[in-house]
Amino acid sequence: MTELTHSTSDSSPVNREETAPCVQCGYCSAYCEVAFLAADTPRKVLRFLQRNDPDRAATSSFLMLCKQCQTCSLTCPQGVDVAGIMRRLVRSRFLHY
Amino acid sequence: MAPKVDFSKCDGCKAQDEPLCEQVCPGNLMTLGENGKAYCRETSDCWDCMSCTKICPVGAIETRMPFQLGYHGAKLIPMMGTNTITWTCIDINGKVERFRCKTRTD
Amino acid sequence: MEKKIPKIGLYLCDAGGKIGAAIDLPGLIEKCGKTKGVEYCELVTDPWSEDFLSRVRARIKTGEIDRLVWGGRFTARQQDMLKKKLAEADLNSHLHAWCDLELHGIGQSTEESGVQQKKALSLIKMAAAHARFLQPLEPLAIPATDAAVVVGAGIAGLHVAASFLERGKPVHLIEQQSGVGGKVALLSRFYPLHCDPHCGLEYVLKSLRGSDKLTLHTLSKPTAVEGAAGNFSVTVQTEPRYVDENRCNGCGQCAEVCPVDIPIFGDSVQDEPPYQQEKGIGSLVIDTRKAIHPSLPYGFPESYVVERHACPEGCAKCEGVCPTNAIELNQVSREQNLKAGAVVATTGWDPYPLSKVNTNFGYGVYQNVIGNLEMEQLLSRMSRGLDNLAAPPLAKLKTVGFVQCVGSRNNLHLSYCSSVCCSATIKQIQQLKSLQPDVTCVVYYQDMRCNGFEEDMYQAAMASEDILFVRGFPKITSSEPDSSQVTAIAEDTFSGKPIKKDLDLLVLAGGMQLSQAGSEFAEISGLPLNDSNFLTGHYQCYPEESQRTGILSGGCARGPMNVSQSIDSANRAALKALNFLDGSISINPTFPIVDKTKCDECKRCVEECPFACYHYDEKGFPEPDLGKCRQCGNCMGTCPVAAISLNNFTIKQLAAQIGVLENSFLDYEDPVILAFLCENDAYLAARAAVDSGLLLPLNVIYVKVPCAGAVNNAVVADALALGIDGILIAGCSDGQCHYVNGNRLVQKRSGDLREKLTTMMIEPERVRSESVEIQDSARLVRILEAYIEDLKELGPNPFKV
Repeated sequence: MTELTHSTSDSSPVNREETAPCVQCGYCSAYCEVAFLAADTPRKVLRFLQRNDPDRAATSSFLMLCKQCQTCSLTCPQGVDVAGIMRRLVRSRFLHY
Repeated sequence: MAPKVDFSKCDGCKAQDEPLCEQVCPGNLMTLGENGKAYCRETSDCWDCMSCTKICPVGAIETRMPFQLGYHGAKLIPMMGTNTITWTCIDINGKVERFRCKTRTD
Repeated sequence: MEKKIPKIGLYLCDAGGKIGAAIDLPGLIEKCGKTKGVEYCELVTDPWSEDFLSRVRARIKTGEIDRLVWGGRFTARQQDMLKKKLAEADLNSHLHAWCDLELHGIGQSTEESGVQQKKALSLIKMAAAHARFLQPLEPLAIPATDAAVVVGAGIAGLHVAASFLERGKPVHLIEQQSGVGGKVALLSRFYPLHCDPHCGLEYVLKSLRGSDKLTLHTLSKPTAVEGAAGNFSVTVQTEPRYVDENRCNGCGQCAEVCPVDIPIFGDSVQDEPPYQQEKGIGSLVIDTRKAIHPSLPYGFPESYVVERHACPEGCAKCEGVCPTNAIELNQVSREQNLKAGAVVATTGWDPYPLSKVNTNFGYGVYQNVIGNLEMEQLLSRMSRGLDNLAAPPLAKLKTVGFVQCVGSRNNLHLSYCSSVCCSATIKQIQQLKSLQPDVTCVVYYQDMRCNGFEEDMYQAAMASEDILFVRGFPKITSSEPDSSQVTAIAEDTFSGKPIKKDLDLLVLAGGMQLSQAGSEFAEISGLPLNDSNFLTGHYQCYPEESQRTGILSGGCARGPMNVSQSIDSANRAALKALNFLDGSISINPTFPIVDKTKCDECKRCVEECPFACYHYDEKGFPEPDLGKCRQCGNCMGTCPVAAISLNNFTIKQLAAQIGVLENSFLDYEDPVILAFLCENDAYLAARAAVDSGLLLPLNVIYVKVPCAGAVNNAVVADALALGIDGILIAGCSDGQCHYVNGNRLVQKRSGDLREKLTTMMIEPERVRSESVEIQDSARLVRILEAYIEDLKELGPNPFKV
């Protein structure tokens, strides 16, 4: 298994470039325990970011379900730190209020 | 004064058993160190023939001028052509003189 | 040997009258006559007239002149014609020197004619200096073996062997399994025509069966490849078969009495279990075989083989029943040495171990998750009316899932696309549907990549209602490990909705990687692998060749290919290899020669030769292996004592050419540039610049070199010491050098020289290396013009008189 190198205490804003390698294959959604419980899936959240719609990404209903289990980051064939992006999106959401 | 080897340039002649400077040194003073770089093992025995400086293919060796000839800062640099050597002489005041000598290697 | 004074005949050809209009040609001729070595000079208007040629021939015959310098423009074809016409007067074709006045701007430039006149004289003098040291040379003929070694007897190797046999060349076919066929023998059907691979194998085996020129070494692998093109010596290690191939008639009585049953795994029928375990795949048992069995994977050679490690101790039942006494249980492994003119590596591919893939979809956990090679075996058994030994029962299949890109196109595993799996999956679906029409298939994919004609298969599959394409990957779960079904949940990434399916069978399309045997071959023969770990030459320009002349690669050893591409590639490799199998190899005489009186045995040439062609003679001096050498001259460039020279392109010639430049043809302030141009790219770019009417600056003198890496620092130092203001070394772009890394080597060396110049209080900008591609004519002109401006700012070279 690949070791996660990303720091968990990182709270920098999500950069659109980070999602550039994503090819929308759907691995993250399939392996996510909670993906289909909300209207959005992790893939969709990444897609919002790719389409330069960070507000929609940050307000996605999925973020409330994410348990930070890191499975998506480990399965991503392109090496995108999906879980890290979700975590930082949640943080940015609460920084608003 | 002994030759000084720039370790960042010296590749130990690709770390073969005998680098070029070792082969040409008439006093057999140059040798490979454990780091695979050449160095002069008996600096006091060197008589400044500059063979190693001339032969070094990567230009890593510099000969310091003995004080009888020029004080610290003076330089004498050879550049080997196919059958010429071009000498550049820089004294401590920065005055540059250049000579071109034929060698009879052919 | 008596030293002959060279007598140069100088012919200035002014075909268009352009040169004559720009400079005073009769005056030039007069001055040229006084150049060292020139015996005769003449102005020619029509060098093709028989009248003129017969006059030249007469002069050569009387001994008045013995070498020629041609001034003016001659295309490669014209040069060749002149060489041929004058060979009739016994003038060696290497005794010509060419001085391209047009390239140097004579008759093109608008500058005053005085400068052009002086430059033309300098150029003629340079050509004469070059010509003075020319030697008559004849191509070397090295006796060579006409046999070939083919490593790997898969479909590609068989086609290579068949091509050689058709040409009557002896072939040693080396195969590590007990029979031929490789991966193709494991397949159920080819696509797109759905024919049986065994038919395709039989087709190519027709020319192999009974051929007395073919030696098939089964259970063998090469352990060393020595020597050079034409004369390779391949060491082969052969494991015992325990059956005499010649006496065995394949009756099968031995197998009837054999007490052992060995399971056959779905994806592989390797003879050696340790090898299989190493790969970590092969979970599905589809059949069993006896310890003595026909050759695998395909029954050629038609002899049985004993898997001795599986035999019970002391059992020799087979020996007792064999009617021809073919079984020899005391055979031992042996090593032999094969002589070959060429080696073709068709080592094929291995499936990427599915257990290594992090999202392995339950492979190895659930028994109904299998790889696509295993699926081929299942389909093959189904079409023969056999059922699977273990689960899943094939007759009860209702829903079958297929996952694409398992391990391929994945940064954690294989970054490349394995290129055949999409079409292979559709082929498997089509075959499955033809056997069991009521099956529903689900394909989980990222992109369907069906190239060329395979698109039709894809469109037909798309049109079918029972085949569902889901863009997204599934997660596989199951209620219990030995359940008959697995559940797949995937997100359809088009709709964002989850799709849940219960699957009776899940087939994973694993990736292709270079076979174990292929990487072993690369290691023993010292060949580098490319970024994707396949054998390679130059991906576009000479794909089947390798860095060692005479070793070629074909088929899936070069990258993921389908069967027809693999056969294509194999045949191209065979075609290239035939050049080395004529029984003699002709070598261009412009190979490097080491001057052993100067050589210091520093071994730098040995280290930096891109083709590793140097070895040591008995006295420890480096010596090029002419069969391997590609005559790029990198050794000549790298030699610190300038002791290595290519024949007729020697350091001495270059030094003499530069020596005549002592008196500049330009004013003191006007910079002179000496440009060394690689003949593969930069020289052609300069030539194209002239042809397209671009004006090359008059300040530059061009020297054609076989590779930028052939430029020795001593030659550059010579030029600088003579007062040349700037040296430009133009090679290929990074990674495009025909000689692997000549451009990088020369960049490193000129970097060293630049640092030395800095300590000498000379501006390092006086030595510059550039990458110029063949299309870069306009850029080359810009580079030169900018360089002239830079040099004007720096002022004249301190050595200039």
